[in-house]
Amino acid sequence: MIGIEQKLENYCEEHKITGAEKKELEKKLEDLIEKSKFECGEALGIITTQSLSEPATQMTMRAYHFAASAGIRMASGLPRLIELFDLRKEIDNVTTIHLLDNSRESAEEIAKNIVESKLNDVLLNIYYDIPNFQVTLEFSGLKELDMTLESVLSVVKKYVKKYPSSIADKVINLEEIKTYSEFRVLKQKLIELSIKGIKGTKETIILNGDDGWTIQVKGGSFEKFMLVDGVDTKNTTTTDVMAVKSVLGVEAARNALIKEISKTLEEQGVGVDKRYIGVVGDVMSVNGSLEPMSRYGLMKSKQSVLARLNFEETIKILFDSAVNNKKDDLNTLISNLVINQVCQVGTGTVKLKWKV
Amino acid sequence: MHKISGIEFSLLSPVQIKKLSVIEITRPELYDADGYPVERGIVDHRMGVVDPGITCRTCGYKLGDCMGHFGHIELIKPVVHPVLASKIYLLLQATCQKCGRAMAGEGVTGLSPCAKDAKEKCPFCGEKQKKIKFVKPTSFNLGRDELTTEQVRECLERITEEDLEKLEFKGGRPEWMVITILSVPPMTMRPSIILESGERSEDDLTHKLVDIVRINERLKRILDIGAPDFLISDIIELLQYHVSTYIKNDMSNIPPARHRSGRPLKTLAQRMIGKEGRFRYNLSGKRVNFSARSIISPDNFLDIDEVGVPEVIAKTITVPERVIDGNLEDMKKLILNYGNFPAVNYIVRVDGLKKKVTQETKEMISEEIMPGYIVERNLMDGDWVIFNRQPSLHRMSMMAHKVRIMEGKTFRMHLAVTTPYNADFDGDEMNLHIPQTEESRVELKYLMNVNQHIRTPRYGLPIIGAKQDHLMGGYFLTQDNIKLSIREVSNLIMGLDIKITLDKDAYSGKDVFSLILPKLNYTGTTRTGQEVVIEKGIMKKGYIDEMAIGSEKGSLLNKIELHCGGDEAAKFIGNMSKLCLNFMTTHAYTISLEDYYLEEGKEIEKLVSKEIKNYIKSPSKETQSKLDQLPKEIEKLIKEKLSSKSTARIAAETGARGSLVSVAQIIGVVGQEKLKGKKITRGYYHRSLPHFSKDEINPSAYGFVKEGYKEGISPTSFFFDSMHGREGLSDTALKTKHSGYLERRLVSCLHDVKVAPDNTIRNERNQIVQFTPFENNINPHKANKGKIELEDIL
Repeated sequence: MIGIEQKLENYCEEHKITGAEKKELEKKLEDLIEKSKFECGEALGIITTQSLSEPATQMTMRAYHFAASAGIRMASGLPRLIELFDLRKEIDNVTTIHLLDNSRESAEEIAKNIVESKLNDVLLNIYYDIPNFQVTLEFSGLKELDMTLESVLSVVKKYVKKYPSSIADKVINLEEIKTYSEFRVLKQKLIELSIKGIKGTKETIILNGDDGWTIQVKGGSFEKFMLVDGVDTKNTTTTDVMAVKSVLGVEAARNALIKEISKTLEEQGVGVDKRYIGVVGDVMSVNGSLEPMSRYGLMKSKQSVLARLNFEETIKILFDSAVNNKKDDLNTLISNLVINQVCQVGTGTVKLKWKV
Repeated sequence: MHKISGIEFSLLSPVQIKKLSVIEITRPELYDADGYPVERGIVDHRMGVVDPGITCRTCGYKLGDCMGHFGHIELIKPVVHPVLASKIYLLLQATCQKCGRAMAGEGVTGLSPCAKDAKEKCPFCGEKQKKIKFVKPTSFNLGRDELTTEQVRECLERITEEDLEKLEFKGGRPEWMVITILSVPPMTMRPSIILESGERSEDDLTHKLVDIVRINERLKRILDIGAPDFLISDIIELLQYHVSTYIKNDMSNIPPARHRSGRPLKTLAQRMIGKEGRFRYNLSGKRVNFSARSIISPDNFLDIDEVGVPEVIAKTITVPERVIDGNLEDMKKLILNYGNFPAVNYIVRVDGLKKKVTQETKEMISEEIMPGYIVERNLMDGDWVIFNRQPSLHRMSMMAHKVRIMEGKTFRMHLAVTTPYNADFDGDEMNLHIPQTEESRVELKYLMNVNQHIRTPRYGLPIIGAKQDHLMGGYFLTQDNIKLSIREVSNLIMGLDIKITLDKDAYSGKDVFSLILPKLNYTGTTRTGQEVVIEKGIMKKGYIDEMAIGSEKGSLLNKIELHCGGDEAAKFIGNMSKLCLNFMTTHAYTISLEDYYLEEGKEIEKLVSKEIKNYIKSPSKETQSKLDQLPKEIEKLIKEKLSSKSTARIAAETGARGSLVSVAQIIGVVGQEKLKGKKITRGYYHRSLPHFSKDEINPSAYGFVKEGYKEGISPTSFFFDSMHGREGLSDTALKTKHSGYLERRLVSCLHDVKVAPDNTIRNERNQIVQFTPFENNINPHKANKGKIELEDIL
């Protein structure tokens, strides 16, 4: 991107503007920039909040929409925005995997490999011999998943090893299990045993968009996707901000958060200056990790007792502060409001020398 | 005045409680037979008075002046503080049961870490530790025995100061968490009210205190006569219960104390917490004087930064004005004007004494005033006031206007400022706040002034601008075929804030519009893509619509604001609105069925039935998407075929009202009605309504409305339409709750983020959030779309 000064330079060259005329334009630009600057004391946090939550009242409550008309359901609208400010973890995240060699074949290959298959998917039948605590498995459709009987059985063996048991061919003897309830729990776990792919991966869709072949994946682990061969780790993204944080670090998570918030707002067609979202991202990551905008996150790290008292859990904070002999230095807006003093913001940051 | 520089929180010691106290409460009765408070009772007059005419026996002041005094109750047996019980538990775990030393290893600090790290054998005295169990809510078991509160207190007393430091217990001595002396709040904190029947109704706290004193006294008596242990322990337990519920009445494990009517009592903790609690309701939400509220109505003859104020309000609300040599004569005149408007209600002498101006005293007072006096005069034209409409979602919900005193009883406002307030005139009420100091008046004039807030900080475009009829007027006025005589023009520009001489014989509509334009160059496009050209303030080409002057979009308005400043833009908006509406009075329009007439109406019908047939023949993704595209297809058709004279079309295309989509829904087809973003499938077994057969393929059975509103929709379609409408209503109702909480959280977390004097963004702990505010230090409130573009300086 070229700066505005350079743009002016180019313009002058193009239109053959020199000398006094050019000087005048430069002066004009300088004045405009000076005029457009922030003033000291501006309550930027409040303006940011207003700019984000005023349009939030106009956003839809509809929680989901379908991404790229392909069919993966993505959270959207106000619920998604709240989710992002909360940094909630257990959401159906969508990861967009980019590929190193941009081809359909490799996309299909990878998609096939990462989708989670459960034992249930390859079972034709499962017989329980309850009196003897025996389980007999009958398989089908192994070929479609590119799996052999041995490979499936080895996974099952590995799992069943936790329980004292033996496995012979397709029959599992659960020798030490003595009660039916124990058996029933194991039975259920066995059916849901992950035999292939990355755990939690629910759906994959292969897309050919502007940036080449991509795979959209619902669920699963971002960390594990990044380790799959053939995945372009530089461009692969996810909607799970916290996963980005644990895999790529705070800076990346901040960017991901900002991207997700702006995406959510754009989808709703509300105009908000992008830099407000930047402020939110910076505030949430100011302590070196990502903190949610709630009583467990940013509010917790506030030092002002009165500010926290006014938010949530009044009694708890009040007594904790008493026991820990906490002091409120009254440098937040709300604590000054509570005790009826001028807040240190805007025109309150400066004192009037000459009292009228 | 002293400035408070900090507030410290710590535990109150019994000694401090006693020092604060003026009286020990020993009697559970409230009043004697004569209705006089019982000596040493819970409503003793030494703790302050709440009835008029009675003097406080401690300070001698009367109601209103006496701020109340604390009393105390000496509990016969100590009681565990219910909220701090968990802290006591941690302390008991962390310290030796014999010597009281903190048993955690070297380097371990903090209460819970120390409790976790406690050894089984005390490293100091070698005592083997028994297991301590916390029996919720307030008792502790040592091994198998229950600890008495005295024992708990002893354990806490044993802890040394050094160990407290290690345990990071800083708020005082830990034994203070076991209450021995209970503080009794002053009467002013728990006033009794006299009901209409003459009965007294006591505050919940008083009720609870009666319980405590009664049980305490009974315990004393029972101990004196040497009652059996089980009786005593029952009474102790009861005392604990009453003190617990006195402090917090909604704890789990404790049944809440109830009023006789069955309503749970509102005790100390309940007074503070929640939205209606002391903190959020009284301390951070303050009520104000010098404010007014009334219904709003529109007035096109005001400027956008004016507000029409009814005379009744102006007479009641006062503005303090300091008397100086310059205004002495004016003030005298005002005082003598008593009984008329404007006048003076009060004067404040130099020594602070307030005097009311009356018919009798007006002469005397007007002679008396001299520089240094403050005159509290009526609200007058030109005073700056804050105008506000709730919900105050952004800062443009509170802006400063100039007062115009008017007849009638409503507040009058300009139509263009309805956007920032999000107001309409269907009965909306708005508030007015009148500043009371010179400092605030100046801030209003220079910072909160409407003209300063034409551009919104949210996305850097004008939020105040033309709406509805302004746009229709602007469109009709700037059409090519408009010819106006001088007479007509002078009628049109009546009341406008411009200086011109009319020297042409005939004016075109564009010429007239040019009269109000500043000398600017502007090229833009209309919503339909036509070019609009303005050269040096003369309109040459195109017509005016939403994209030029509309609120939240207008690029012409944007340019005027940017180049000529807010005052000029405000003037333009005022002129434009008057001009356009004046024009509408002679060139009115109407909307009738004709506006929705389409020659090709039959074609649409055929198209719709064809697509439906196609879908029924083979329900697939393709035919489905064709169905979904139908309204768009029809919209396209309307764009091509609907007469350009159709006012419904003009209204939609200029951005005045409505949209082509709704025109399409009226003429053509309403389309798919959706619930939660999906087709309507729920209802009966395998069908949405009993009017359809089971598992029907026809899209009409799943909420597809194939008729348009003009021809009328079938009963089933109407039902689906209502379902969709209802979803929208319940959605908005639920949404406000969620977005309100989101806003509250955002404000709580972000309110201390501000631009520091060194031009960085910092939070309340002085951490730098951004080194350059907003990445490039360009305030979107002041720059075009938050950016500086080359065209802005050319």
